[in-house]
Amino acid sequence: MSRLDTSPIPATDARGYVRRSVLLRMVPPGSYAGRPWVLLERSALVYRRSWLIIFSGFFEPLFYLLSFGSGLGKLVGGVHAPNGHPLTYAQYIAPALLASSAMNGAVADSTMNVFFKLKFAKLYDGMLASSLGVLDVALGEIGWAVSRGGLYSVGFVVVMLAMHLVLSPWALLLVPAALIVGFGFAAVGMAVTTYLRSWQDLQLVTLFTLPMFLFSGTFYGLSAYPLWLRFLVECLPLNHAVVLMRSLAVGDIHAGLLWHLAYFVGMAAIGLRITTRRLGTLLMT
Amino acid sequence: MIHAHALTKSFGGFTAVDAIDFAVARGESFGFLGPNGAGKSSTMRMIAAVSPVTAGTLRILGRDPAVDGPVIRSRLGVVPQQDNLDMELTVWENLYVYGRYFGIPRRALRPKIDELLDFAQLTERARDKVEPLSGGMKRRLTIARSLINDPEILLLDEPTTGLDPQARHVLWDRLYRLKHQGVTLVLTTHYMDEAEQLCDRLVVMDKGRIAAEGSPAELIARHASREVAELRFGVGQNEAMAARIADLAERSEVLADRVLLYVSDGEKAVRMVHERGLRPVSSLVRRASLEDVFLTLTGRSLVD
Amino acid sequence: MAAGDPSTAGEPSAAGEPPTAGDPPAGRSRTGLWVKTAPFVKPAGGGFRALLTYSVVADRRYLKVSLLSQLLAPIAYLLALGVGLGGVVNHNGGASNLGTGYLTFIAPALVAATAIQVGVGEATYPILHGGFKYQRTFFAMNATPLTSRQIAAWTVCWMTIKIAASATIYLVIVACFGGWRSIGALLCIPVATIGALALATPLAAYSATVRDEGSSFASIFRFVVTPMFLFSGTFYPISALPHWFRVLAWISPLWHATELSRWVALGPLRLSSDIGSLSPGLALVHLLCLVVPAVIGVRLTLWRFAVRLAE
Repeated sequence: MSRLDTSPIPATDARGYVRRSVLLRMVPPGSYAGRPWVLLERSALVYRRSWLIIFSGFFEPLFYLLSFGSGLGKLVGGVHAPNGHPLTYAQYIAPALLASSAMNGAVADSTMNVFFKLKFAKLYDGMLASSLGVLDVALGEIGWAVSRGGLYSVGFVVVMLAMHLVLSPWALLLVPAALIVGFGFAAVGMAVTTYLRSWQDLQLVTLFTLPMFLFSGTFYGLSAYPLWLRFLVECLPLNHAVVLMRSLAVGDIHAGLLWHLAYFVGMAAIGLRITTRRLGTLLMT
Repeated sequence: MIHAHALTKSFGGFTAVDAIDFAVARGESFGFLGPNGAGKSSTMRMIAAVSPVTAGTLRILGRDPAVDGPVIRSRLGVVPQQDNLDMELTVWENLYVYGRYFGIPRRALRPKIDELLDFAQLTERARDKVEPLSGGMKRRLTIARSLINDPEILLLDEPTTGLDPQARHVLWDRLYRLKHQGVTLVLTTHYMDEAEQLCDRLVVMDKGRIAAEGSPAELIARHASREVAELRFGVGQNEAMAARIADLAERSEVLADRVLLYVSDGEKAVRMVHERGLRPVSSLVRRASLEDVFLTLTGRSLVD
Repeated sequence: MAAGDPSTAGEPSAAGEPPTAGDPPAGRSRTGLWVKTAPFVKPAGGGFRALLTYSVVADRRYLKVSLLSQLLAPIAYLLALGVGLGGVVNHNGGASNLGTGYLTFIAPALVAATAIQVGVGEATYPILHGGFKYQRTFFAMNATPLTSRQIAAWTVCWMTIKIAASATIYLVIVACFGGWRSIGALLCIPVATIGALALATPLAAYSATVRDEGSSFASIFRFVVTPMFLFSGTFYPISALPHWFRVLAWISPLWHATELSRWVALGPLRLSSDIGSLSPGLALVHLLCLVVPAVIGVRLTLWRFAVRLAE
């Protein structure tokens, strides 16, 4: 064993003091060590061996695009972008599928995997026994979910470009938009997961995401819905993402898009706050 | 190193730790001995700055855990009761990732990991996944992991529970070495042999309170006699027999399957029992142990 | 449908000899197929009635929760694509393309798809995790006088019952939305069930063989079930896809089940678009494409259960 370092505060100490920045003054003392990326490092190490799982998640939205894009066009007839520009059916569903793949990529990692790590592997207990804080854990895990969703999004945008499904150079903003969407979903996903108690409860997550995927204007417009249903769907997150992505893909840039982005930034902030508080309640009482 | 005064922990209406006082000096090996539910783990979690203190004061390395939690934790090593090793990573990666949690730079980690693997005798298994390792190996890995940040205090919660005897001895050996290198050990256990072997000083806890304090030898000398005679009279008879021989000893206890006589000369006591015409099915004379101390203090046995 | 009934004594029976469950399965089955079957062992104990009691009691709570939750996704697809997208399709004249409303067009296919989803779900995790690896229920059963053949046969039967039940419930739900136009739609239930078994029984044999599924179950869902669901003519006539997709469809049990389902549900209506009309010969071919894998799967399952339980 090496000679013990007996200095009062060793060089490799966690910065346990609250950082002076204004934003972080809101954070309770001791909950942020400033090292969320070490969790990303851990996840990267884990997935280095099972990259196939990550790789395969990319295919599902691609299958939907290929299947519905080629087969349903004739049956569905004319479809339009939010600004009225006519589109082929493939051009219509592609940005929406991008939105839902950002959602699914983010939710998968922030719910099932987090639940397992929290309740069974007790990994976060180990992390919090070190000098990490709950905010590090929350940011790290959400950050990984976003990275995974981001990977899928980049891949999907490449496919869209290759298949001539975008109509404007503004489409390059699809990737950062997908990251923000992913962050919102991952933060809320992880917050919800901290409240789940059993494996069966996890199905509640799918109970939310699958109907959103199917009913939020991905495959057909919302004009068919009665007014109350239309209002409800437009309040839910995925529809915001779908409209945002469609507008970007077509090049319809206007200030209204910022509202959609703000929606997801709000989701992220609320989700992060709840997650941090719940982790503290669950693991540090 | 650690000072606690009137330390209390309650969960809702239930008080797990009830205003206890203790102090741990640098370099000593300190133990919390007691049955399940005594409040040992709750106390350990407070010392580890993971659980907030409900009342009283607690100072670890001179700092208050409510304010300086992460700083304190960066100087502690924690070996939890149930291994929470990362099953998805290899042995080497477990140590690496844990070191990274502390913010230790990558370059500094590599030689440290090799050293720790050698200490835990796991060098050949460095590239293996954690899941197939035996219980003893996993526990050694957990201890190695807890040392990655060169802690001043090592907290061990029931370190050898669930291990076979050989694994326990290997673990004790490792802990001795650490002690000789100057690491302060704080451990909880309900095994009296572990407490006697490893601890310089002990605190006996029961139902959230401290029942006694001192070194193992002191406790035995103070609360139990020198020797104990164990007499078994057969099913259902122990109670009756005990009444007839209780006067032979300073103290006697009736357990479910035997009668204990606390005397200074066990052989003599057994002879006197026989002289009275009573025939125990079997008899045994042994030295007093911490189990007897606990029995005297609380009226119950350590392992229920 | 069920697998070889242990009560038939047609095989050269080992009656009178002690059960030889420890021996490796050997020899030819009585039908002469090259596939090995478990040696026939005279059964004792409670037999099928005991297994039925077990399944009903053990799965009672599970049936309500899990079966219904397995149906939620197909119901969502029904509403979103059948009713929602269907409204758009009908509005744009797609109905004349198809010869009938969109919902009526996809309903038979959705029943078949639901049955396959449930079948694959039942053939993977409950068998490997529940039966062999974690709860080890089959080993517990095997320690009683029940034989491995009975256990395997019953597992297939119970799986069939659950698939048929979910198909029936789904049929009823679709009926509530007006998805059926002829009484022939009731035949969708057996068609969907046999379609599901064509995939589920070989999978059950696979589940009984592997120690640790790794990521194979997830891969099966992701790379077999989902593409099959999307490219087998469920939501649009398969003629809309390029030629080689249609050739590929021949290996998809869902496509055969879909064609047959549409034949029984829409065939009698004689639609203008020719959807659902198959010549009896072609229908028989589709049926065989489902029955043959199902039967082979059953024999494989019996064999693999015997091997696994003999360890």
